[in-house]
Amino acid sequence: MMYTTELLIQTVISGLMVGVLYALMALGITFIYSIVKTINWAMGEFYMIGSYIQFVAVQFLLGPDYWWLAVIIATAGTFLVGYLIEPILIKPMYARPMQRRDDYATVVTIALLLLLRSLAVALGGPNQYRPETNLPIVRLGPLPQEGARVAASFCAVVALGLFWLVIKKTWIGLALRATAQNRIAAQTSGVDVFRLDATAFAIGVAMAGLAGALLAPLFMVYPTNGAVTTVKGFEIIVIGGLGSTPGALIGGLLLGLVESLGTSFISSPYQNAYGFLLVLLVLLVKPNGLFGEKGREA
Amino acid sequence: MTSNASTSPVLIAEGLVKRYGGLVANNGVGMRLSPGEMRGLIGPNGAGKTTFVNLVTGVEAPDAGTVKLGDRDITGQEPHRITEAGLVRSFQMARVFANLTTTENLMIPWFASGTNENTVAGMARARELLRLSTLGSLADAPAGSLSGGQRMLLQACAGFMIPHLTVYVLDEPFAGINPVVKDTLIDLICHENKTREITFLIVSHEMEIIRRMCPIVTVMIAGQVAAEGSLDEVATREDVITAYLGRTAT
Amino acid sequence: MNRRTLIAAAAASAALVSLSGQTALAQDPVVLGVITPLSAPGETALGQLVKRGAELGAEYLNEKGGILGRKVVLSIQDSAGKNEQGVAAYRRLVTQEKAVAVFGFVHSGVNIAVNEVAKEMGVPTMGTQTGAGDVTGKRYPVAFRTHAVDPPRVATWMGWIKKNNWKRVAILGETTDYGIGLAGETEKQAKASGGIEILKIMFDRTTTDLLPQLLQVKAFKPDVIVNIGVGQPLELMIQQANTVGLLPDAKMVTSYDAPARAQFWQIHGDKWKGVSFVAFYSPKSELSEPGQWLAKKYKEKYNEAPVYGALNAFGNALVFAQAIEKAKSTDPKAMIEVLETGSFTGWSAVPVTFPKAEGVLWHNWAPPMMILTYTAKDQAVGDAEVSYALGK
Repeated sequence: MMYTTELLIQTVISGLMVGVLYALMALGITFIYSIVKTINWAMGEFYMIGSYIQFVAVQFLLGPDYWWLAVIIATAGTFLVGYLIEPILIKPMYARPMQRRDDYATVVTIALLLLLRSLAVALGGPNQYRPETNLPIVRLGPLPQEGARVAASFCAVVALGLFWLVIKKTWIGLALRATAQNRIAAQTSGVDVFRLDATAFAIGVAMAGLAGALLAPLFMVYPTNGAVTTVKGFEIIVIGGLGSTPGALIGGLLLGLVESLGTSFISSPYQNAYGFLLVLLVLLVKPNGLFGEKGREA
Repeated sequence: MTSNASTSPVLIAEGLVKRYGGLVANNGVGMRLSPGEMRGLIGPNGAGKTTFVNLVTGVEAPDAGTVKLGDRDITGQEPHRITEAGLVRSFQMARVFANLTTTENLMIPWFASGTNENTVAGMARARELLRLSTLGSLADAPAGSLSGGQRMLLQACAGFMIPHLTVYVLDEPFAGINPVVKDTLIDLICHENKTREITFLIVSHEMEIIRRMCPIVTVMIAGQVAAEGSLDEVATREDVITAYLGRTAT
Repeated sequence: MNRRTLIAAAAASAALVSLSGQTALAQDPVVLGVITPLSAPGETALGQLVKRGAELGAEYLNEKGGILGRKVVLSIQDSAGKNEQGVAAYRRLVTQEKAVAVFGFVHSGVNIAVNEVAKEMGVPTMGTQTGAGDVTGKRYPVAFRTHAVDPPRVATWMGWIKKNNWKRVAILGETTDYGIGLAGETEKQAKASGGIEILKIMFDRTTTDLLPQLLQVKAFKPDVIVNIGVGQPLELMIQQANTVGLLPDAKMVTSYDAPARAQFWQIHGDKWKGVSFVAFYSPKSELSEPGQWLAKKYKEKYNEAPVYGALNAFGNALVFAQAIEKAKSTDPKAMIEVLETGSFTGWSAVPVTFPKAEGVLWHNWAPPMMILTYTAKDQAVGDAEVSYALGK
């Protein structure tokens, strides 16, 4: 195989394209953690929910031309599911004094993971589905790319931009940033942190749902389809640092790049190994991740 | 405000009890504050002052007793509900949002109060408070870059941003800040007290300031209210002196 | 679907009640154990098919009067594709559930690990869809299998390739036991036959993008691509091979019968041309009498044609039942002896035998294998063209 500049550029492009979608997953995880102080292990299942909604919306309601509308519906649907689930599952952790919050959150979100997967099997069976897409193949230079993949990356960038706007420019974003820093101070300032928890949880899982909806035509729709992207999400958290938004973004892009470059220029079977090498390297140099805080807040 | 309302207490705490295992931190504490009053709360370390403040402001729920703000029972409610009702507190260690600008810090309680007034009005109010507290030039600086005293000022201002603020509980607002900032803070408190008839409960060890600001002080000793009256009155009482000097003195 | 789940739950609880000490029943039921992946990281899609087949097997047997006049009850255990969970399930089946035979294995690793315990505990196992050599290659008396091992499977597509006189073969395989085994065997058989150029590329099964690999394949200008992915990567490879323009001009064969599942048309729509697949069953295949019963029932119940995994699990239940009938006992030793010497009726018209053959073919029955190719969009598997049949 020829190692040309052209190939390099194309590999970088395709790495970045996957990277933004990884970043979306990682941002969801990290964002929920920063507010609710809980790691949501069921993140991949919200990815799965998003992909199922996308499939149903495209296939039975809207048709492939309105895939973008389906994406909005899927994201909003996942948001709603998260908003309704949080007060039931996560809130008790704060509403009552609790000795081992982390353990509680781990057990509860893993139980949720199993429940949602079983629900998917019960409703849709073990089969794989794929929402139809009629986006044409796009040529980036001589490299052909599925239209759906290009659209997914583009939408992910737009979503990240929207997220940034909401966080920086709106009242709810201000309240979220304040709560992330100091829960009790936010509460005594009059912020209803419980409602904010639900909102943050819903925003976080909606990002996973969005990723699921966008990737549905590429990676298909089945009960365990969120597992791989979740693993990548957590890898990125280690690279970028838990609770760090820039960490999630840059970590995601880095992971996408490293995997893509490694696969093209070193050897194809070890795609996952490149990611883990990156994780190890970061852990050696910066144990808290590239943008991690030194210690966790009390 | 009608004359009738101004005579009935704005805050009534009755029989508050809080136990931590075997330790009784508050044992039947009560207090009544009149509208526009500036009350001092003093007592030796470990007397249960902060516990009392926590119970009144909803940071902790009492084991027994009630707290009423005007006619409204707020006992054991969530802090943000109590803030919503018009009772606000500050903390000994200034809890500001270090990564947000000073203005943003002030806008949080404004928005959270669910006020119908618009953002422009809120910004104007924030600017005025920053000017009064001599932080005007730091409006866009991250709160993390402020000195300890400035953070205390900012924290106090955040409470004043709430439009329907009626009772403000300040827990050790003067601890460890320099004299100039202290005076600014005192002026700010007096200004808000005069212009908005806000009621204050000030927990402090700084007897000079308490004497200047508070006509009546409440003294807590060992989880109970030991005395109430002017500072000079209570300072002559033997049990108060003993408590402050410590048991070894007897 | 909900109603069915409810009924299943009711049936299960009824079964539990009847098991728990209602000695009023004339005789205890015969318990057949099933160990199959029903949750991740296992191959759950396959596990569900196995479960369906096993359940229909029990239904068929009970309809025909049970085993030795006793009712047949299934105890289905989830391996999640994990060896230790599978082993624990086997121990539970033998000691608590009193299962007399265990089948349903889909992951070779689980099957091999269970066999290590089974050779001590004695209750025979049957690999339903496990391909690795060691499942039977260790020549344990308890280990049986009804699935194609690597050599005959590879021989099937190599026979098809030679029949078409193709000279350039690209092998794209995932880095799992399954993929490495089949890719290696394909390379070996291709080299042995001579005159064939090979490009072999392995990839991680969690990959999100096969474009780099497929571009290399494209530069190689293959006549045919051997797609050795399982599940998502298999489908991704078909999609992306279309994207880079490899399909439909170059041909592709998938290493198992994924395209036989109803979902194939849903997933690939218009991008189906040029894809063939190894199949162990086609509705054109001749079925046994019980096999015909199953095909009908399956269609009624699940509204699709039965798939190989379900057929095989169904067949496993029947074969064990016949072995018990012939041995007139559920004693493992007696059952094993009968299995090794007798001939049984499974789902296929081809009788099932488990000769004490050489190497991995020990205790092994392979279904008749073929290469199928669709000739029109949305075609039923039954109408697909049989492009090649092994041994014919």
